[in-house]
Amino acid sequence: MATVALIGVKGNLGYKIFPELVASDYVKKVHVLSRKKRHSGGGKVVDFQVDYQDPASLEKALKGVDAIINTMGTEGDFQAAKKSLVDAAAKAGVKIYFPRYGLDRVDLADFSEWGIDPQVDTWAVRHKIWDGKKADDAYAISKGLKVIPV
Amino acid sequence: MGLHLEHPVGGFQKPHGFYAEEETWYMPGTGDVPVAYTAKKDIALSVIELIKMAMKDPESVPPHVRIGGSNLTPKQIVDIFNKAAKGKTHIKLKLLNEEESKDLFSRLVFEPPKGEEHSFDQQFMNEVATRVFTMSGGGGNLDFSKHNHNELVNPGESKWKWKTMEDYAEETDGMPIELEYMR
Repeated sequence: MATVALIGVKGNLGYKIFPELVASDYVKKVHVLSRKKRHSGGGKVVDFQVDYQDPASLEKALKGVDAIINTMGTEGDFQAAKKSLVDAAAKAGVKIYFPRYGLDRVDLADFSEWGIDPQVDTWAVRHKIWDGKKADDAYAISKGLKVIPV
Repeated sequence: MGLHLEHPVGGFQKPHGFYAEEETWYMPGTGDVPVAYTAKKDIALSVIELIKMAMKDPESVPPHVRIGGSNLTPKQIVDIFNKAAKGKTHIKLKLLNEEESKDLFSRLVFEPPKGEEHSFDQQFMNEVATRVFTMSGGGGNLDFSKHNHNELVNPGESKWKWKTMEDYAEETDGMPIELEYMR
């Protein structure tokens, strides 16, 4: 069994992932990380209000977590938030990371890692957005996380 | 996972050339290159399976995972929707060359979701949207038909049944209408 952290519970993908985590017998606990104060449900669900500029709040929320599913939105400086999350995950001993990428001020799934396969080299994919994804993956891997881009 | 099968932020919206009010799907290329669409619930179930696998043996999970719940061509997809519509609507597939694709996207105006106050860099957004549009039309970045990991996470559909394009077409009565935040 695993403890899973979900970021972006109210987002267009996260809201569909959340109930499946709750329903899964394999998932022992669900840590819901949010900038806002939430009550996502009792039982195996634990809410954590986090501040991406406060590493301690992230490390506390990720304590005991095996896997992070990042469906983060694009509020504020989400690029910095992603890096803070990875840093905290490494410190907290998280093993598995499903990354989320996005453009500044865009929340389109197909522009994110949750979508296209940037490994297929075409003119369309030769753009700084997808270069950034590869760099972000490499950073998380360098921190010792098992990165699983889907 | 390709594009989201369902809205919100699904694969049938203007940045993918789908204009519901015109009952027209604009698509670059021949319309014969498969495009992966995956239901959000199926994405969730796939992720849970991947966690199970990685917890047991991290090396059992490939470095990039491709999941495609549905891997059909635009021509096939249009036929499925029109069959489900039972005559109420009829989606036309209009194939575009490179110039026509660029022209379509130069007219696309991005607006933030309701309640959000930020603005988009239109030129940047149009450039990226054109690239994604091109990928879906034949670039290969959304063609997961020959190489995917569906069997890895859900061998023989032994864990769940993938939601199909036919399922979605029935659900939407043959016309997938996206929640609009682009005009």
